[in-house]
Amino acid sequence: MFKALLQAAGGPPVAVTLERTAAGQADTHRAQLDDRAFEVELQQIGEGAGWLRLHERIVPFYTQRDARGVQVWIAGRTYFVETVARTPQRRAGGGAVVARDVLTAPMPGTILKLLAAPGAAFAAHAPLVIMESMKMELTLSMPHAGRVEAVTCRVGQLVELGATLLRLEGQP
Amino acid sequence: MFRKVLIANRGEIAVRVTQTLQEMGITAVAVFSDPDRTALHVLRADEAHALGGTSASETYLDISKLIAAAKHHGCDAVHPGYGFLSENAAFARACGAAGLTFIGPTPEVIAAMGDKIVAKRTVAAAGVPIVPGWLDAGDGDVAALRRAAEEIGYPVLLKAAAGGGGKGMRVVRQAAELAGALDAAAREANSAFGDARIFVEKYIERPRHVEVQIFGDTHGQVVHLFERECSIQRRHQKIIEESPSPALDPALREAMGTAAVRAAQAMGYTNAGTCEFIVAPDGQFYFLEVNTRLQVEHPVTELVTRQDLVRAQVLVAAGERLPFAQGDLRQEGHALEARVYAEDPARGFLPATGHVRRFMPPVGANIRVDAGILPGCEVTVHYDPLLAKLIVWGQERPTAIARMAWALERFVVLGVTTNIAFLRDVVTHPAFRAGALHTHFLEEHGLTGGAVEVPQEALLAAAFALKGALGGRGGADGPAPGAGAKRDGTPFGSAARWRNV
Repeated sequence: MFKALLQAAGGPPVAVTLERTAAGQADTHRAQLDDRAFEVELQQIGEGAGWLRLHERIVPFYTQRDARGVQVWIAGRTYFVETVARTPQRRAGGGAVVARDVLTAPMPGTILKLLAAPGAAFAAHAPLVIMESMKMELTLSMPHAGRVEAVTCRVGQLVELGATLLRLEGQP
Repeated sequence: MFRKVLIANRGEIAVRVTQTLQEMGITAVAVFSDPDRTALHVLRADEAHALGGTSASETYLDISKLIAAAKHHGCDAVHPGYGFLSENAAFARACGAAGLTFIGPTPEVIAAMGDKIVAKRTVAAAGVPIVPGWLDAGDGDVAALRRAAEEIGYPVLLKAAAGGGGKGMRVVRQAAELAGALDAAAREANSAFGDARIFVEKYIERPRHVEVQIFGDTHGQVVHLFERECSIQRRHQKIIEESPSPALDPALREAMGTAAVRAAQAMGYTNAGTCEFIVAPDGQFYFLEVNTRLQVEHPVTELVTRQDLVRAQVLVAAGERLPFAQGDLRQEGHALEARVYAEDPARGFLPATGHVRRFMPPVGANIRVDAGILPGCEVTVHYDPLLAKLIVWGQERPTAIARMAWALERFVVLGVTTNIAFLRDVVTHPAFRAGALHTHFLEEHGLTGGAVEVPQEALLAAAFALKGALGGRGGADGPAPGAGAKRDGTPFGSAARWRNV
């Protein structure tokens, strides 16, 4: 019996239950996704791969686990699925990942230009940092207005993915 | 004929060139940077030379290291691929000075065509139409550019004199944006080409990007191998190409082919090259530039003409006659190419890095995959994020499109975010099927590859993986997250993990 609250990026959390119904050649399970229940057959093909049979349809899949969750390939699309316990962290667009009140690097790369000084106010979507990665310039901004509290990178610096570039005061 | 050729490149194009050299009985010598020691292009080569270093500038862009490698291995010629030093006249000249044949046009032609301004003047003198513009690139002289922009009329396009690949290119819709755009364009141009000169031309709305493959030999023969439609672009870079173009009728095809050959003759062109044109909605075409190298998208031409362009390049460089005359060339059926990049379309096509954990390209009738990677390899920030090119052929355009969609749906890549699903969204879009292509197609149709409904199968597969039903570690066949930094010495540590936001 497997029971977990799973969430794919871009989708809602779903309560998933798997219960094996038969052993032997066919590995069939009683599956429940929230209130939908059905039978699913699993055929493993090597580590992390296989096919599912749902309502007579064969669906090949490939999975890749890491510390955070599972990347799943189905029919030319990939989905990242994690186990969730509470409300997931909120993210926003605009290229930069919003985590409370910091601007982080969306890519590893080099800082080319800092357009905001400590204490300076900025408007929503105003360019704050220009960085270069894979020979391309990326202009980073925040989806909301605020004020720069501290600059935590310097021009020419090679930064990692997720590195804090600016600490901000403002309403996330 | 050459005995041994050094390939001054990496990735899929180095692999592609290696194949033809080996088929011709020529020994292929690879070069590699430290992170590329276990790359596919090294595995495929007959001999390989460590350049030492990580960044492009200390490896694939280091002329003296490449020449020394070619001499050390006793090569008689160098194939530059595309990108890196392929359009660098100094490199072509250095090869010549070292007694190596550069497989490409002469250094003089590369230098002349590398300067987009000289190129336009040369072809305009031969009677080929060019976009109205102001070709006197100032040294960041905003006032002069502003006067020129006002004379031409907004919107205008700022372009790098040394340009290519969309780098140093900016659309300016009003005078107030000019100074900022010029600053960014010049900075980008300087970083990409070491030349900050920018010129301005009329910006043509909703243009198609159509290019003509040209080929010349040292015996005075110049031919064209028809067109490639390359209108589907993001950030001014092509992602889907096809031949024939759905926009060209036989008369326009003939006119553009003839113009391209005339341009090539005007510059004394030898070896492979591409005349890029834009085609306005009214059917008028304008010369943009000549790319003095093999193009990324050359396979679509190979599939419709049944010719091996790399083989022809080698023959011409060795002084032989072109293996085809204009009258031999036919455009048969329809070919499409989709470029598979490590990037996230849902996040503005940001390049993605990480370890490629699973890589299973589709296999089937009339499907070609030019790949440069192997499972387990790392996609780093140092090089272009192109993983592979998927090229399909069909008797008719609809067949080719259906085949491309089929193949994309079966292309498995895990470990790094790719644009594969996005490419399928594009080729299955009704406007793409209708052939209504232009360079702003993606913006116009709001295609981002993001936000689709999560199928229940994805949750079930994830549940089986988490349950441990898919093997001891549930498919976790790579090193622990973050371990990459210590193992291979890249400076990005845990950043080298993939993420999916």
